[in-house]
Amino acid sequence: MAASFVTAVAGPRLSIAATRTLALLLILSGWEVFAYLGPGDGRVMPHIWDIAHALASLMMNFSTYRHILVTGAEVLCAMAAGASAALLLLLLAARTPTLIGALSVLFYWLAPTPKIIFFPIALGAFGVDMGSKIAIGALSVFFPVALSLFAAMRQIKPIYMDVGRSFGLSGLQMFSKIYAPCLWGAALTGLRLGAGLGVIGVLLAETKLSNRGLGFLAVQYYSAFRIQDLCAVLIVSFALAAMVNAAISYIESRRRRAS
Amino acid sequence: MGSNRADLFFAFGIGAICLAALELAARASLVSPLLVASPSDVVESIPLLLDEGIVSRFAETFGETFAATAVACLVGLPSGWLLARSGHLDRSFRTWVAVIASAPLILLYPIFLVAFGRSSGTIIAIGAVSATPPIILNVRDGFSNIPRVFLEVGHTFRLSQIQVLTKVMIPAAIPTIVTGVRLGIVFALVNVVAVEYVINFGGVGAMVGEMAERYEIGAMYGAILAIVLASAMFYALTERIERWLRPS
Amino acid sequence: MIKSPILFLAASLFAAAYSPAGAADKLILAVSQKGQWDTSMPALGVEKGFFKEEGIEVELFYTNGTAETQQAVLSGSVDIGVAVGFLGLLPAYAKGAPVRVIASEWTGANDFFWYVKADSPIKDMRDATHKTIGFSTNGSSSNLVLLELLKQTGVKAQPVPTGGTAATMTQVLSGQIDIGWSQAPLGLQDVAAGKLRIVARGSDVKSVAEQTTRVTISTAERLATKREVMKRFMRAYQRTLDWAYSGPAAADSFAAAIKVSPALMRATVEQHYPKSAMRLDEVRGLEQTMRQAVELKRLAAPLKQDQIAELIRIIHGK
Repeated sequence: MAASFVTAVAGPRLSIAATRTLALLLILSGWEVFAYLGPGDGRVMPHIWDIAHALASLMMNFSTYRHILVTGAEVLCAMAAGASAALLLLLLAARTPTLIGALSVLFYWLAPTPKIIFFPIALGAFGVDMGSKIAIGALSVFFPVALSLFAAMRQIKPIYMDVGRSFGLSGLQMFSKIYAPCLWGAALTGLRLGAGLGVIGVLLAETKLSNRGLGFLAVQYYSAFRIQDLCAVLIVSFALAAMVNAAISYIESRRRRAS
Repeated sequence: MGSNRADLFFAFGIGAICLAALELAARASLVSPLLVASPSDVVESIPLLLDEGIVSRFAETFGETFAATAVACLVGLPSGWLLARSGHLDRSFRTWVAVIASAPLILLYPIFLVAFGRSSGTIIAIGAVSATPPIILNVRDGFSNIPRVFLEVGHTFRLSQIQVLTKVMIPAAIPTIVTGVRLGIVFALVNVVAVEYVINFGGVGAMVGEMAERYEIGAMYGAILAIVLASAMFYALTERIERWLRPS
Repeated sequence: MIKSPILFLAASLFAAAYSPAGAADKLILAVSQKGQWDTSMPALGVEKGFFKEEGIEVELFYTNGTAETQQAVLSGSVDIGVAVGFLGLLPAYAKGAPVRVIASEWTGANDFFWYVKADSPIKDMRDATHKTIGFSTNGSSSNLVLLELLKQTGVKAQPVPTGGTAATMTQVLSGQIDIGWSQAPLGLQDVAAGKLRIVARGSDVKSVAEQTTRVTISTAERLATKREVMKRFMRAYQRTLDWAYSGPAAADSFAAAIKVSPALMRATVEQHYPKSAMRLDEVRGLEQTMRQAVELKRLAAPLKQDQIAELIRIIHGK
């Protein structure tokens, strides 16, 4: 009934863009009310225009783009490394359903551990620069991708694999003709979930030790209590996460069209 | 997707093998004791952990995660249902929900600190906000992907709308919804522990940070194992709930 | 016969021209908390070229706190950690970490202060009875200084861990805590503008005035292999300090970087960061630090003399 009511009010008279704009205005209004009523005269909860001004200053500063590039590169490398590790482990375990089941359980249990704890180990192994941040990001991406892939692997009908073996397919052929078509969707779902965790992992690692990146900027602004600048950096970080999500959606839609 | 006893048995087996390998590596000085604790060090740190209140801290983290997931379900279940029922709302907001699921919400913790103070409220709020998107998306998928033939059978049997909902739609959507809730729990627990660690307040996450600062590395990994235990308990809980909802 | 000496000489000259000894030595530093006056010295030294003049190329990385700096040094990924909490270092050393203190970084507590909102009824510490008063985390230097402050004033306030300075400011402004702690210069602009009021200062606490709370560290292995480079580093560091306190230029430059008024920053340096607190050559107040470490369960027992001699290896001026 609620859905019918909403549909009756919202569309077809309202376009999607208009609905989104309305929702955005409601959110911004709520924020502004909170900022107005909140403590600190707009210093603790900055006003929208202060955040907008800070965002404009941030984007007009040339060095910001260097920070964005660094974080972006770290996130992409983390996603590639994390997803590749999950896929490799899956392929190694592919022939043993019990192993797949056992690893799925283990990954679920281990997924909520705070990966940032392992940052000193990453520092020792990969150094102070981008490597350690990519390592933490990859660790964060690994678990959701692995969980998705392993769950999808268990859904593949055994008959498919029997047919592949009876045709004498090599390991590579089994992967490309049997596993890959079944696992693509799960891989993308896992990447979509892992992207956010990967961004968080990279940003948190940058707050721990760095001299560049969006996480580094965020902690500098927060330490100086420049909350509007912090919000501006967070908006850029969210935009980065959105771009990664959009890229995954694009790949997904291309795959659907191809199949 | 459910696990069976064989999966659990082999999971423990693999875990035991890894722990044994770690113990051997530590004794052979292949890993630094300042970075990685051997299993025997973790066992030796149990009295310290008990002294530092790990049981109550565990209960606190577990409770915060449970509360965060409950709030996420209260918001996520009807929201997902709305998206499934209204094409317009689905087309307008599904992408937003997916983006929020990828967003580093934990970095908004200063804003939550203002609203809820340095308290469990902040931790539960961030956990709930993080857990809600996967629940919304999976509820939406669960109700949107019900095979038409199920609904047609329901209409053929002249079931009322309520009966179609309770006897056809919900049972068909349960597996996907439970997957969403399971994912929500993972997101909630990850964020609850992370926020506890970052703001150094609360349950086991804060304890991990405290033990790390005091270089009680065995106790730090002991606290991490407590997080793993919490995850395992939630996993078992969701399995039970799924079996109760779908006895077949 | 004649060609050999010429060939040998040519080869020697060639080797000398491309010898690595002629290239700058590199040091990677992890510095705690960018944005504080004392921790800005390495960056200032780089900017002024003091390290370059000593033939050292310095690469700076910043951490969120002293624990992270310590971890970075112990992981072997950086050469030197600047502004590491001395109290937090002791458990690592006691558990066998090969950490060495190569210089003192900060002595005393002049940089700390406690503040309230301007409209608060609390005028000074005498009004703080039964009020909540913040410090960073358990066992931190702000925790120690606060406990000494309360002991000295005899005030029965309620210490509450509030996290970092920014998180504390949030809690004070939103009324979640009565008295917040901060580290200069954060909050001083609001004090000057009349929005906040200082009720206590770290400089009021006599018992910690001569206690070294932050140090510069390295590992035993790096100290052994790069001792000479580190000596030159510390020499340049001292030159940086001397220059920073020789006139207002450094304070003005720092003020521009953190977006506060030059006048405020000059006053901050004068009141909160006296040069004597930044001496490099001695770790002071060891007995008190050991006592506090045992009280806060950082150490099971005070370090013995030989352990202290192994841990503290000041190389400044030697």
